This record gives sequence, C-alpha cells and structure tokens, in this order.
Amino acid sequence: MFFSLVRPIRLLVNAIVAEDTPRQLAWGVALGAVIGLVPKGNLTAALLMVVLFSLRINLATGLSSATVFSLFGGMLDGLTHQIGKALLTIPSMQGTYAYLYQQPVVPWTALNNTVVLGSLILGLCLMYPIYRVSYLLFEKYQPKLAERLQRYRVGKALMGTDLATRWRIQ
Amino acid sequence: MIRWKYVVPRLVLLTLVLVFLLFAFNPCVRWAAVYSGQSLTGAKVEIGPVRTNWAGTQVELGTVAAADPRNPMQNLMQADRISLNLDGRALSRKQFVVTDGLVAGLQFGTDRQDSGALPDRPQTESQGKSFEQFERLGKDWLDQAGSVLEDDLESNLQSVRVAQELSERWPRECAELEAQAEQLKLRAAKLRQQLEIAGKNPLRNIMSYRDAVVELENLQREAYGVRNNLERMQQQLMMDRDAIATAKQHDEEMVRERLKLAKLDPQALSEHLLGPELSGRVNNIVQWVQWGRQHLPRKREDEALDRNRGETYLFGLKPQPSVLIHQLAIEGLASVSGDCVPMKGMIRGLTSDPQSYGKPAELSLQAQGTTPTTIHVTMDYSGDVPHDKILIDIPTLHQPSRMLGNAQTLAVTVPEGQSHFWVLVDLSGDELNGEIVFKQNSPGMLAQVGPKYGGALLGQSLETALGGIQSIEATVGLSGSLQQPHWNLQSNLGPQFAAALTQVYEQQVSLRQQQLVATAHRAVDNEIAKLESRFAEQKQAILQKLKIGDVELERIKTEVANRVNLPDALLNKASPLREIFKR
Repeated sequence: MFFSLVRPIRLLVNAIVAEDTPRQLAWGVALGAVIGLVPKGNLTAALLMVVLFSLRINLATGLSSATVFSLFGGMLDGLTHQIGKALLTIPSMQGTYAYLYQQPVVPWTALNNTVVLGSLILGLCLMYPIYRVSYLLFEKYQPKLAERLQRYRVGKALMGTDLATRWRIQ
Repeated sequence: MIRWKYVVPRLVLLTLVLVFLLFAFNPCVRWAAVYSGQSLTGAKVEIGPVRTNWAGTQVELGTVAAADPRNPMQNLMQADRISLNLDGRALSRKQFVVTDGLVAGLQFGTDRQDSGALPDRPQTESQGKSFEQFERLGKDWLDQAGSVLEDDLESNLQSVRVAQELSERWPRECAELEAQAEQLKLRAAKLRQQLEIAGKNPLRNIMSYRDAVVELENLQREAYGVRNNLERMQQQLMMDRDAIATAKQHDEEMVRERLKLAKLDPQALSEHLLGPELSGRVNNIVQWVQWGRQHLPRKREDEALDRNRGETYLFGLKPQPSVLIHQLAIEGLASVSGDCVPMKGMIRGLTSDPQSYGKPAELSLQAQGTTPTTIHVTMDYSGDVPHDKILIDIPTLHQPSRMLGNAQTLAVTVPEGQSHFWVLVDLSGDELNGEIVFKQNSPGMLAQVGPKYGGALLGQSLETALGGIQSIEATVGLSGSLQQPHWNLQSNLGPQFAAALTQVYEQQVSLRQQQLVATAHRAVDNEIAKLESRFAEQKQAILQKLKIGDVELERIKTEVANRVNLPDALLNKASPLREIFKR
C-alpha cells in the first residue's frame, strides 16, 4: 500500500535524477498522458504501452504520467464520450468503420467505444502541448532538482526504493 | 555500441511478458473461468489445472465442480475434464466461439466435502411449492370417515336411556305399593286382635266396636286405593312402552343421520396418494427452470456494456455474441431414480447473448442402461419473451416397492415394477404450461388403513376391492406462473380407490348402523321384559297381600256383627246403629 502510494513520486524522482535528456523526459510525460487517459483492458492501451516501452523515451516519467492521468481519465468520460461519439457517427465513415471492425484483432482495440476512441483522440491532441510544456519545465528545473534530490536524504530514500534504478547499467 | 540503459528495461519487460504467457496465462484463464462460473451459479466453482495451446484455441479444464447454491454440500455438476476448441478467427475478433468440445465424466448432484456457499452471498432458498394440500384434501374425508366409525353413539341412544329410567322408577313405585299392602295387612291383623280382646266383655267394650268399624272402613278405603294405583301403573306401563317405541324410532333416525358419509372426492384421494411422490419431481423440474431463468444470460451484451463507460457502436453490423458454444458433447453418469446410468448428450447454441445469436440453446441427453432416459431442453431467449421447453421421457423407469399416502391414515403399497414417466414443460414468459404423465403396471397393491380409520380389518376389505386395479395412471397438469405454479392431478387410482373405499366404508357404516339399532333394541327389550316380569311379580304379591287383607276385613266385619247380634246390614254405612255408635 505504502509503495503504491509512493510509486508515482518515486518514478518522478527517478526520472528527474536520471541522465536522460529533457526531450526524452517530456516525451515520456506526453505518451504517459495518452496511456493514462485511455481506458484499460483493451488492445489500444496495450499497444500504447508497447510504444512507450519501444521508444527511446524515459520510462519513469511515462509510467508516472500514466498513473497520474489515469486518476483524471474517469473524470473526463463525459468529454471523451462526446468526442468519440462525434467521430463514430460520421455518416461517411460508417462503411470504413464497419470494414475495420470486421478485420481480425481490431475488435480487441475497443475503438468502437466512444470513451476509448474519444480519450485516445483527446490524449493524442494533448500530447504535443504536454510535451512542449514538460520540455520547458524539465529543461529549466531538472538539473537543479536532480542536484538537490541527490543531496538530501528524502531523495536518496525514494531513489533507493527502486532497486532497478540501482542496477541500471550504462 | 549497445545502449544498455535502453535495452535492459525492455528486455526485462519482454522476459516478464514471456514468463507470464508461459506460467501465468493458464492460471489467469483458470481464474477467469472460476470467476465467470461463480458469477453464473452464485456458488463456489472449483477448477483443476488448465492447459491451453500456444494460440489459445484449445483449452482443457481439469476436474470442474460447481456447487449447488440451494444445497451447498452438493455439487450442481461435476466433470472430470472439459475440453474446448475455440474458433481462432472468431477469437481474433474478440469472440469466444467454441466450435466443439467435450465434457467428460459429468455427474449431477454429487456430494461435497466442504460447503460450496460463497462467503458473501446468502444461500438461495428453494422456491418450489409443495403438495401439502394434496395430503390434506384426502385426509379430511378420512378423518370424517374415521370419526363416524369411532363416534360413541351408544351413550346417545334415547330408547336405552328411557328404558333404564323406567327400570329404576318402576321397582321403586312397586315397592311403595307393596309396602302399603303390607301395612294394610298388618293393620287388619291388629284390628282383629283388638276385637278378640273386646269380645271377652262386649258390653264394657261397646265403644271399641265403634273404633273398629271406623278403622275397618279406612282399611277398606286404602285397599281400594292401592288397587286403583295398581291399575294406574298397569296403564302407565303401556304408556311407557309407547314412549320407548318412540325413542327407538328416534334412535334409528339419529344413527342413520350420524353415520352418514360425505361423498369422497376421487381427485382429492388421487392427490392424497400420488401428490407427495409426484410433487418432488415437479418441484425439481420447476426449480431447474427457475435456476436457468435466473442465471442464463438473456439481455443483449451491448446493452450491458453501455451501462459501463461510453457507448459501443457496431456500424450497422449484426451484433455477435462474445461467447458462443456451437456444440459441446457430454459424457457422464446420470442418477435416474437411484440408479447410476451412463449418459451422453449435446449442448448446442449456448451463448452469452441469445438475442444476438437469434437461435435457441438446446440440451439433449440420453441415458442408456437399465433406465433409458431422454431429456431435451430448449431455451429460446432470442426474442423479447423467453421461452423454455423441457421434454423428459423415461419409458421404463424402475420403481421399487413403495408406499403412496400415509400409513397413519391411508396408504397403498405399490409393488416393485416398471413405470413410464413423461414430462413436458412449456414456459413462455412467465406463463407455465405442462403435463406430467405417469403410468405403472401394478397388480397386487396392498392397502394400509391407520388404526384410527378402521385398521387392519378395513385394510383387508380394501385390498379385495383394489384387486381389480391393474395399473396406476396419473396426469399432472401444470399451469400458472413460474413463481406460483398450480398443479392439477388426475389419476385412475383416485376414482377406483374412492369407489372401493366408499364401498368398504358404507358396508362398515351399514354394519355399524345395524349393530347399533340391534344393540338398542336388545337393551330396550331386555329392560322391558325385566320390567314387565318384575311388575307382574310385584303386582301378584301386592294383590296377594290385599287379598289376605280383604279376607281379614271380612272376618272382622262378621265378628263385629256377631258380637253385637246385629245383622251386617246394621253396620252398613247408612244404618241407625252406626249413627248411634258415632254419637
């Protein structure tokens, strides 16, 4: 329980003190936001996770961002439902949608659900603005924060809880 | 240069995914199956090891046991193995379609070592109705018949009571008269003694003659009164005999009225005898239908999904069920009337979304061996109104010797034999229709009548009367609703048994009537004969005493006349001498 509560903070601390570039950190946050917004239990969320793990971006910021945005995902259901509904009910696209839905694997994506599609679209739309804002913040504050966290005991303790970060190999 | 910082975390995660697929996938499938099964049945579901192939299109579940939510110490079903072949194309479209499969070693109603109740769920109560009213209906008539035969009518016979009253009253009155006659005799004797003493000196005792005459007159008058009373009693005796005759008539009517049997309802008797046995079967069938209605899915899946998050669009395509079993073979053992017989069957069209599938689910089972059984169940939930149809046919059901009814009241022991059991239940919406037909050849039935209702004597008479019944045929008509089913039982046993029973009871009642009337007549005649005989004796004795008294009075009269040398006429009532004496 304690570790699950501390996990986002720990991931963020690890991300800040990591030696990744602000760009990698910011893309991690942006992609994590998309993952966080999309409802889980479908192939879309799984594929987004695969993308997160496949790209050279910071995993820690990605996972912490996904955790944080998951908390807000449910609150945005009304908005994402409207977006998804608007897209799924475009008359000219019905044939295409029907064709896609009949293809193998596609039904597993649950993109015919208004909330799944809406949250994916919303996440993708927010991805770049989140990246830009994160990039600016990381560029300005990451070195200073990293220095302070490495100096104080709280920061060290939070870093120490993640054994994986200690075992990392350059 | 390999960037280990990038590669290692991804390798670790990839390894984890592979490890999951190798070791955790089957347990996850097992967990999902247990969870789904428990949601479906509302009781514990236990599944042994699960094996899947690499593509996930073949699933084998070992040792499956689903507890009965109504009886947690029993399993609803138990199977040694369930093998499922999934359609790979459908699986790629998010549909679990079982093209074919096998449930091996299936058994129903096996015992469990531990309770199968889920900790957070209340135990499901049986909703079946009982046939208690069937027992009651037949018993009402039997109670009435028993009370008729047991009724203490002897104490209510009026003629006997009147005769007993007379036998008490008459001796008392006769004794009083006899005492009066005896008194007269004694007084006459005393008067004679007084006259003899007075005769020794007639002139000195002239006044005592006057007293003797008065006493003589009193004695004559009282003797006359006693004779009158005797005459009156003779007349009273005649009147009392008439009263007894009237009481006799009243008694006969009362006996006829009290020993009248209500007309026995043959259907009530059928229900009393066959109801309890058939009720178990009916309740069982109704409970299975209720269970199916309660647990098998009926609503469209997309409707259920829409209640969660967002809406799911199918773009004009026909919705397909996410779970569909095209055909699933069944092999196992079935318990038919206590016998374990091998069974084979097939489930077709069982789905999570019957409305989307559009066809009914079907279950057919054939039990082989000594008790061939055919069960065909159709569950059509594809329309707005669910429709269930159950057909059960057991042409040669072995029936052990058993007792129908209640030995404390009325029971028939049917000997061991073969019976034909046929059931058709049709449930459209909540409207229940159906028929259960039961036929058994059963010559040589034995009847048992409780001690209160006639006992072994009546039982033997009934057995003779039942000799003509060669078979038991019963038809139970089902109607009403699933929640409040109604039964209507018709059987040849009831009318035949009722006819036999009524005949025997009427014979008994008639015999009882005759016995009662004869008892009353005998008692009354006996009392009257005793009374008349005793009255005659006592009358004779009284008259004898009065006669002696008369003789005595005559002698006194003569003696008084001689003593005063006067003719008898002078002592008569109007004589002057008498007047002189009086002065």
